[in-house]
Amino acid sequence: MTNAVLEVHDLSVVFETFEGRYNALNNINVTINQSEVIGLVGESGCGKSTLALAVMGLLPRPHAKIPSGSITFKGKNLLSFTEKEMEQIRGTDISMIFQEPLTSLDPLFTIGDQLSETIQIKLQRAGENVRWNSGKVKTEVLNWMKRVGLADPESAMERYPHEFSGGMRQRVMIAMALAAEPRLMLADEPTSALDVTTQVQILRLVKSLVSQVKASVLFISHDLAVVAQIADRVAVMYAGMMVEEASVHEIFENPLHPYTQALLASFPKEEEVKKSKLVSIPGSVPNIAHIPPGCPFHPRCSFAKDICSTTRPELRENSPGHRVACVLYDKS
Amino acid sequence: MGISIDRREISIILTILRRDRLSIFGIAVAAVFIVTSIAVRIFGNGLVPYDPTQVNMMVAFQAPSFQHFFGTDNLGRDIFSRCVIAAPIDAEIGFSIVVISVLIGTILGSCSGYIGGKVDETFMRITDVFIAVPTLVLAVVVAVALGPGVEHVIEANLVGWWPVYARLARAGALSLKESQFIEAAKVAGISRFRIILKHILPNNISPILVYATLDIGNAILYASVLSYLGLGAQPPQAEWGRMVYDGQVYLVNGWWISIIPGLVIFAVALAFNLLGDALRDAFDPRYRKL
Repeated sequence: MTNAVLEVHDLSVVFETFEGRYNALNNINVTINQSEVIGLVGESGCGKSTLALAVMGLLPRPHAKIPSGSITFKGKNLLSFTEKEMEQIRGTDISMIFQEPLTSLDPLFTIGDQLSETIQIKLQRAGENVRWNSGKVKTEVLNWMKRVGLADPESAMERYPHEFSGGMRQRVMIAMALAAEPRLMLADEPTSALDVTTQVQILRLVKSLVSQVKASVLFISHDLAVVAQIADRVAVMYAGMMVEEASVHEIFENPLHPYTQALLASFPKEEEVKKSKLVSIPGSVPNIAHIPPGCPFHPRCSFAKDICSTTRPELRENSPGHRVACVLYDKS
Repeated sequence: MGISIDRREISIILTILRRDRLSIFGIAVAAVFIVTSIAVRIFGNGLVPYDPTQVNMMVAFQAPSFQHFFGTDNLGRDIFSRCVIAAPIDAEIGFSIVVISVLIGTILGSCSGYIGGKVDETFMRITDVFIAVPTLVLAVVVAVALGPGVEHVIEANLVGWWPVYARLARAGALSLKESQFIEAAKVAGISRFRIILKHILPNNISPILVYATLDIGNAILYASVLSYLGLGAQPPQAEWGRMVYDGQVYLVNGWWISIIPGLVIFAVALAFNLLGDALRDAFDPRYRKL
C-alpha cells in the first residue's frame, strides 16, 4: 500500500483548435505522497499550469481533450468524475492558489465575506448547516486570518481586496485554500508576482501551514531558487514532457538531464555578475504546435546525438528515486 | 453578503452628478415625474385643480393661461390636470417594462454566458429572433393581438425588450468568467449556481443599471406610441400618447391640445436619458475627471 495522495499516470492533454492539435502534455507521470511538497519547474509554456488545471478538472472545454492517462486521487480516478462530483472535491479535498492574488479575489466583497464563503462550504460539506454570517463561521475566519499572519483581523475582515497589498492578498488566498484542510494544494506560481522579501515570508508561511494541516503540495514555479526553499522533490518539465524527477538535493547536486544542467548553469554566479555576463540556454522553448520529433530538447542540447532527433526518450529510473528522460543514461 | 458602496464613493458620484447642468435637469424632471406619479396614486384627483374627465363645453379650446396652465381641450377638460393624472400610468408602464426586462435578461444572459456551449447557443439564437424584428413592430403586433389595455402595453413591449438585457448580461458574464476570481471561486469548490448568483450577477450589474436608466425614457416613449395608436389606455382615461392623438385634429385652432402632452413625453424621456448618461459617467472611472 502506498501513501500516495495523487498519482498522475501517463497523462496526455491535447488542445484542439482551428489551427490544429497542440500537444500540451505528453505522457506525464508524477506521484505526490502524503505531506510531500513537489516542486514543478520549467520555462513558461511547458505545461506546468495545464497539469494543475487537469488535476482540478478545469481544463478549458471543449478545446482540451485527454486522450490517455489517469489522475488518481484517494484511490479514485478524477477523470471519470462528473462536474458535480468535481465540485465536491474542489476546495475541500484539493485546493489551489494562483499567481495573481489581486485578480483572484472578487472586488465587490470584503475579505471577511470571501473567507466566510469558503469556510461555510467546508462546514456544510462536513454536514453542518451554518449560515455564512453565523458566529461559528466568523470565529473560524478570524482564526485563519491570524494563522496566515494578517494583523488586526477584526478590521481587516471589513476591507476590500484593493485595500490590501500583494502579500496580504496572497495570505488571504492561502487562508482560503487551506481553511478546509485539503489533502492536496496546487500552488501555481504563488510568489511570482511578489517582491523578494515578501516571497520569503509567503514561502515560510506556506511551508509551516502545510505541515500543520498535513497537506501535500504541488508547487509550480519557474524559479529554481524558490523551489529549493520549499520542495522535498523536484520535477522538471520541458515542452509538455517530464524530463527529470528527483529529490531537491539530488537535483541541485547531481542534475542529470542536460536541460536541468543548463537551467542550473544559467543561475547567475558572483563572478559572472561582476563581468555583467549572464549564461542562458541557446534557443527558446519550442512552440507546442511545433515540438521537435524525438527528444524535444535536442535542438538546444549540447550533447545531442543522431538518435535524439528520432527517438523520444522515456522517463527511466537512473538511481533510486532519481528518474530522467535522456538517452545519455540509457543503460541498455 | 451585501454590496456596500462606502460614503466616499457616494460623495464622488454626487459631485459628478452635480457638476453637470444637464444631469441636474435630468434628475429634477425625473424626480418631479416620480414624485407626481406617487402623489397621484395616493391623493387621486384631489391633487389637481380640475376634474380631469369633467367635460365642460363652456371652456373648450382655451389657450394656456393662469386659469388653465396648459389650456383646455376640445371638450373643455383641463390639460394640466390630465397631464398630471396620466403621470403614474406612464411611470408604471415604463418602470414595469424595464424592471421585468432587467430581471429576465440579466438572469438568462448571465447563465447563458457563464455556462456557455449549447445552452449559450440556444439562448442566443432565441434572442436573435426577437432582436431581428424591430421592437416597435413586434410590440404593435402583440398589442393588437392582446387587445387594448395598459397591462397589454407592458406585455407587448416586454416581448421585444428583454433580449437587449440578455445580450448585455451575457457579454459581461463572458468576460467575467475568464477572470481569475471566478477561477479561484471554482477551485474553492463553489457550485456553478452559486458562482453565477454571487460573483457574476453583482459584478455584472452596473452597466445594466446604467442602460436601464437610459431605457426608462424609451419605454415611456414606446408606451405613449402604443397609446397614440389606440392600443393603450382607453378614453376617458387620460394618457399622454392618447392626448397627442386626440388633439392632432385641432392642431390649427388649438395647438396646445396635442403639443403640450407631446412636450411632457419629450421632457420625461430626455430626463431619463440625461440621468442615465450622468450615471454612466459617475460609475465609470474613465469618465471621472477629478
